Amino acid sequence: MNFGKFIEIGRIITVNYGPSRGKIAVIVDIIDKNRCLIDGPSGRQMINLKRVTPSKFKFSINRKSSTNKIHQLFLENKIEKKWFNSRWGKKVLRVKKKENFSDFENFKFMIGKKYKSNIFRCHI
Amino acid sequence: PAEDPPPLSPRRNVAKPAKLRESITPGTVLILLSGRFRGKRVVFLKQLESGLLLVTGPYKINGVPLRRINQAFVIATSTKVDVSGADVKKFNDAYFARPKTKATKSADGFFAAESQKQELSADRIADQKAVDAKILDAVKKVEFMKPYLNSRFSLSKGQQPHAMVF
Repeated sequence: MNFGKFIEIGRIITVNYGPSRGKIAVIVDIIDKNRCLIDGPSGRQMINLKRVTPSKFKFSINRKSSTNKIHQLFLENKIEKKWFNSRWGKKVLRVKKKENFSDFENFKFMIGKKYKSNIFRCHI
Repeated sequence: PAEDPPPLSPRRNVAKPAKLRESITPGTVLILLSGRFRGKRVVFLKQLESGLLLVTGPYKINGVPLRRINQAFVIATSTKVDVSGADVKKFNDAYFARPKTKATKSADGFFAAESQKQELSADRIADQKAVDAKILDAVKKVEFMKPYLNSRFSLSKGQQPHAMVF
């Protein structure tokens, strides 16, 4: 089994639980087997690795980097653009968009689903 | 008692008509929450002097006529229909007031088996058609607006109204 998405310094991760849920952050330091220090939109914080999922993106930062330095490298490496162009990032955007559908948009979505399933049925 | 109680001061607070929610503007699609047409999506026309909202289905789409609704029993969606063409100046609370029937004091009257069915006046039908004509034109321009207004709103499992975006 080949593992590719390691928990390492500079790895971009998504936060799955808590106030920063759904947002991405960078691993700055590893505290122990279960916890690491991350830096992201909600600032620098300690987080349990159970609340976190590593992505395929990473960039090189030093262990003692300051928040400003990390932010600068984050912008230079265009991580946000890469993230929202990836399949996972696009899914995040899609889910968020669906959550914020108005009543009318939900109705149109329902019609679209029925239309699509009807096409499938006709082809079987 | 040593002192007389002070005379009651006359009531000076008069109930003002309910303030219209910011989310409700002419043309807003509203979801009715109670009454005969609960769940129906209707078009808001204007607020009357009493504070009640004047809405219409339009009648041809979902069977809701020109009607008064209380703002409290309504969800305002973010969807708007263009109602600028419709003339609603003549509609006020007096238009919708129920005609006064003579109160029967006899015992027979109390258990009246027959209730007089109110005939729908030709004026009401004409007014409905006049207002709806312009609104239907606007509805036709937006794709899926007609079946949307024809559908009913309902909650399914897991949906939380306070967390929903309308």
